[in-house]
Amino acid sequence: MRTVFKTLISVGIAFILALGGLWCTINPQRYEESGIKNGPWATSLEAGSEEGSIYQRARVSIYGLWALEKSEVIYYVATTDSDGMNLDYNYNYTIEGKDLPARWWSITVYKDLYLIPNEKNRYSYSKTNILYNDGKNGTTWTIRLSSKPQEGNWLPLGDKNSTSGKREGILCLTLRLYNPDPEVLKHPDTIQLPYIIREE
Amino acid sequence: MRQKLDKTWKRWTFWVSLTLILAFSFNTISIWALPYVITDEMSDDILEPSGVSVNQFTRRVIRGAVDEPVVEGVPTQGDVVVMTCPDHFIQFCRYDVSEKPLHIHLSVPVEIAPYWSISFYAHNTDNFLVINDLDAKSKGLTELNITLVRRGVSYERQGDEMVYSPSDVGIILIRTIIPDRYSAEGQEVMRELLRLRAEARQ
Repeated sequence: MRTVFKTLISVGIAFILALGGLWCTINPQRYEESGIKNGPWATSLEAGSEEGSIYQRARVSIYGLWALEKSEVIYYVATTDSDGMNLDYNYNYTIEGKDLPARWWSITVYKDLYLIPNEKNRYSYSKTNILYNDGKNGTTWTIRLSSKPQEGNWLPLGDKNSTSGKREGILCLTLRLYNPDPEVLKHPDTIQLPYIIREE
Repeated sequence: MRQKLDKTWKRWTFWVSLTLILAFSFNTISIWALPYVITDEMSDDILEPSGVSVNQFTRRVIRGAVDEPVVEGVPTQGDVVVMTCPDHFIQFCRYDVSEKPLHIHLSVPVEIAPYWSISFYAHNTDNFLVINDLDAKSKGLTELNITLVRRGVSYERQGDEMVYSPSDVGIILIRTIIPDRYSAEGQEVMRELLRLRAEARQ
């Protein structure tokens, strides 16, 4: 009887430890830490790959289900600005960049991993529809991230009066590079990616 | 006294080791199983409201924000898959090739979208094959005929591209990028895509 009781306690403790381990594996912060860093952006070249470990596969299934492999798309994720501060609803941000080394690219904002409903139906900007700072043939662009309407490329953070627009939750930006140039695959940690600047 | 201490020490060592081995086993099994469970759950969430069964393509926009239709006759599915790309028009198919191969016939939209691909995922979410519009264009193809069969099964179909799945079941996604789907141009591209062929049958 005592042995059965001890076994049950052992199984119970093992189960709690296993759950803790699972949480550590799928924790979004660990996901960023385990990847390749480039300023505020983090990526993994193993996303979607058959060579990925079971840990990588578990993370991708939660944070980027059915991701494409690296020659097709490289996914960069940022939850902080370029100074390392968490993205926060109480601030406006400018994202400054230039044309990126890929066949097509886009930048999307998410709250708690989902798109943010807004009246403009605007969730992303891309190589196709971004307005360049210096006209149609320009090379640099600026995106403004704010809950208040902005001129130019405005990515809304939702209406703060609506339920879905509650000013809480984890903000996250995803940069997708479709059919990236070879330099991205060679130097994912040093290619020039957009700056994310908090406005005071 | 010493014998009693030794016995206690041995007993503790046994129970602590057992607990750690069990914890490691539970943890490894749960991490390994997670992608399979998520694939099944997400597939059910997408397929049930679509009214299509296994081995068929949906004609539904999986977007993730709200549920209103973007184009007449094309329902939009909100909040299903995390971090979906809002610029995608996605056609989804859950396949099962445990008994028979799956034959897929597709039209490749050439020059109407910045990117198009068909990608195959094993049950554990590994992306084992992608064919994109540039691949098709380089071979001069505007139509793709693909036969999907379980890896290790000997089967050939004349004229078809043979694709070998590492698992009996999995997912096929056809992605077309449509920036600004709400614009008149974006709506026209979506209507055009709906006219194109995307069939799967066993």
